[in-house]
Amino acid sequence: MNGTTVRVRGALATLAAGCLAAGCAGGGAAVPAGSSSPGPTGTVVVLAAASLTDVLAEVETALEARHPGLDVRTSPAASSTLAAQVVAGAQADVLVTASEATTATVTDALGGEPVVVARNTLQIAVPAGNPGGVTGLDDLADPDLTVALCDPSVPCGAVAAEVLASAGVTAAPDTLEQDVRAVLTKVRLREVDAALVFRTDVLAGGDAVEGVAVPPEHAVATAYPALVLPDAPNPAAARAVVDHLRSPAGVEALRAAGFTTP
Amino acid sequence: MSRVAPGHGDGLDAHLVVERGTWRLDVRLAVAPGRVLAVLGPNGGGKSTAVAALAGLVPLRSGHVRLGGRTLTDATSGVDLPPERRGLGVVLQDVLLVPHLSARENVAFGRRAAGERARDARRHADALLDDLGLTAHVRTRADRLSGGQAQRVALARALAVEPAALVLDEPFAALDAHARAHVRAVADRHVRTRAVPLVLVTHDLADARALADEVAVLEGGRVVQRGAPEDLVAAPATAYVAGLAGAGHDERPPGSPTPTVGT
Amino acid sequence: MTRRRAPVALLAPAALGLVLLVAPLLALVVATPWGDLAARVLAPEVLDALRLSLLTAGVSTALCVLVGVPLAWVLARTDLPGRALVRALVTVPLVLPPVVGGVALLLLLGRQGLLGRHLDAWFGVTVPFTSAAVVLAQTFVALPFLVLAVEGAIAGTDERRELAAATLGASRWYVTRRVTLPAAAPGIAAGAALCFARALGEFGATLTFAGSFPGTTRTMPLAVYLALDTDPQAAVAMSLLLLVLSVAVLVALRGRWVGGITGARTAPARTTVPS
Repeated sequence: MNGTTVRVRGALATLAAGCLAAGCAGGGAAVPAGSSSPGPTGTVVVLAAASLTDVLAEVETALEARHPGLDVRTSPAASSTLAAQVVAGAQADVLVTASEATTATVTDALGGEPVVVARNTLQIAVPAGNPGGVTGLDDLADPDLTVALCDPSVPCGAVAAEVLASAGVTAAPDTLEQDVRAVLTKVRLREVDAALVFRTDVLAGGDAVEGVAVPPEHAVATAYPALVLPDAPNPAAARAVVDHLRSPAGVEALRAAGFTTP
Repeated sequence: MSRVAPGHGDGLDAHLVVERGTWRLDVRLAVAPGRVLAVLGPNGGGKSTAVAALAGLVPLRSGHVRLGGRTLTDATSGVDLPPERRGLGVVLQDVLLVPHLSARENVAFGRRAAGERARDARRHADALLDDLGLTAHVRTRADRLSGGQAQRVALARALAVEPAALVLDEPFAALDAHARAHVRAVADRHVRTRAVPLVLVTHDLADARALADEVAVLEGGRVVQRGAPEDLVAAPATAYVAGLAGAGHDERPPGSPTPTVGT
Repeated sequence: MTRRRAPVALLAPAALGLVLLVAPLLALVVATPWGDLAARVLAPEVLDALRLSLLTAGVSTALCVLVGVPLAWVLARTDLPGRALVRALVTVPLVLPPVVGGVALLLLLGRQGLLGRHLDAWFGVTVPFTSAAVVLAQTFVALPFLVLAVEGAIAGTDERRELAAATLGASRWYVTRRVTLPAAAPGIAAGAALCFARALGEFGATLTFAGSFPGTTRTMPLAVYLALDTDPQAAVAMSLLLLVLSVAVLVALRGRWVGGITGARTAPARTTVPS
């Protein structure tokens, strides 16, 4: 159902763009200067890890402003869910996950060359004011504190497990959540004293969430590979999305969100 | 045959006014202890509504019900005892036993509700059921009883609570002639030996002749004739009464509405 | 009752409806990894989740019966002002996304919640992330099923029988206990079965309010959802287990009682006949 809508919209957008190029707007309406150069048009579907939600919103705004014929549609979800959808045949142009291993399951099945566009490190997230007095990874082992982690079977949990193992801490979590946003929600609602989430999530949490740094020697970084899908319906636009992520504007947006860039 | 004065201190004394839309019931009934008032009348005449009003299942628009000096309800003073505190033994036209309980438990119901030990209440129930010829059905679930059996159980459970007055709505209607005579005799004995007033609602002049000291004929929500059973036969005041006297039993005009009780 | 042939105008959409309900479940059965089903279903983490699910759903159902039957009685048998509003409120969890229910529970009983902050300060009790939170979440979403079923059952019993019983001197409570509730028992059982099945399947409110920790709060649906991301085959196997369990409960309890419900709802035959 969704796919149909997207495709029909795409077709309409293409028609409209063609009309513009042929000058059929009538009355000699002024064409914006930015759109005079031939750019990508149509619809481009970007599947991206949930932690990229805010960055992708900026990418969408920037690209659609520069290319009026382009409609960027983003669909944020857990990386593994997105990868499973793509392997199952979901129509999409770009896939950006929070895990090289996850993207590998797609390239193994469909091919393609991913490029790492960003890296993310874990931070301890605490509610504003740090009610639990959390100072470091050791506090995650305190049974008196309420601690949320991602389940070790999902990417953020796997990274958390690496970090904790590297620091020699046996955490005492009260809940092992499905994804990083669920963990962050519990911090925001002040239901937990500490959680291990990505640095970007701490920033996205705004004033309600504070970060406590993980020592650099234990800060395992996770890579975000972007992949133009081999059977992308709109490969030109797909490449434009990935290029934008690597452009100065894209890098700035990623850094503002708390990512590091290669 | 003694006439019962309205407002008799020991008996049942009622002035029942009930309104439903444009339909109106307005009757005065008075029954002395140990006496039987038969209320006859066609369907829709107000008999079952009168029973419901006596039992406290429908509210009075005005009027009162007094029993042995107690006020059960009085529209002017605002007294209105709920059904469970009226101390009446009521058999409703639709019988309405507790379907999942045995005949015995139905009869023991009132005494157990009053706190009597289950064993005693059951023994008492068995004796009453025995009296009414239901020894074989003591353990039968109420919803498996025949119409006639259910009616006798309903009478037994009303008698079991040793009420201060009895109000029976068509209590013999589903009985065959033989059972009817027997059950009438049981009711009669109860009324006379315990000296309780009985309001007997019936279609059947024979019931009235067998039990009643006085008959009130209810048509269109009003008493159209009052008197001893034989007086009614001798001088019927309406076509309905004349029909009763002539045929020996009632005739139901087709399509006449059946009043529902307590809903 | 004589059986009549159903008109096609009804049969066709009826069949479509059934397909709509059953086909996805069939797909689940087809996708089931039958070969290692036993191993997957008997895995310790699955058994943990199953044990927790049965325990919490059982407690939730008991809680629902305890408060839901009286609530249903009030709705069916009293004319309290605002009854229509109460009935609407009871129905709300049916239409509310369960996740929202979970958030609402957090806002009430969370550490910062309206009530929860006092529980924490006065008694040192925190509800979230405990099995009690799972029970509360399940009760929240399952209670409407019980109340609606029982209200229907009580409303379907003949109130005149209660009035007749009252004339024998029985108090309202005694009548409720010995006349109303036994008559509504099939409906209560059916409602409890529905309630248990709903509690067993509860997901959104639990995840939000209780979190997800093996053995404490990770019930079967949460385990299934997690496994979908990590081990889809295991997710399918667990789903099948949950499906079989729910169907077994519904068939065992409801099937047995459905006849009783229809019986209780038929109007009592008039026993008075013109002589």
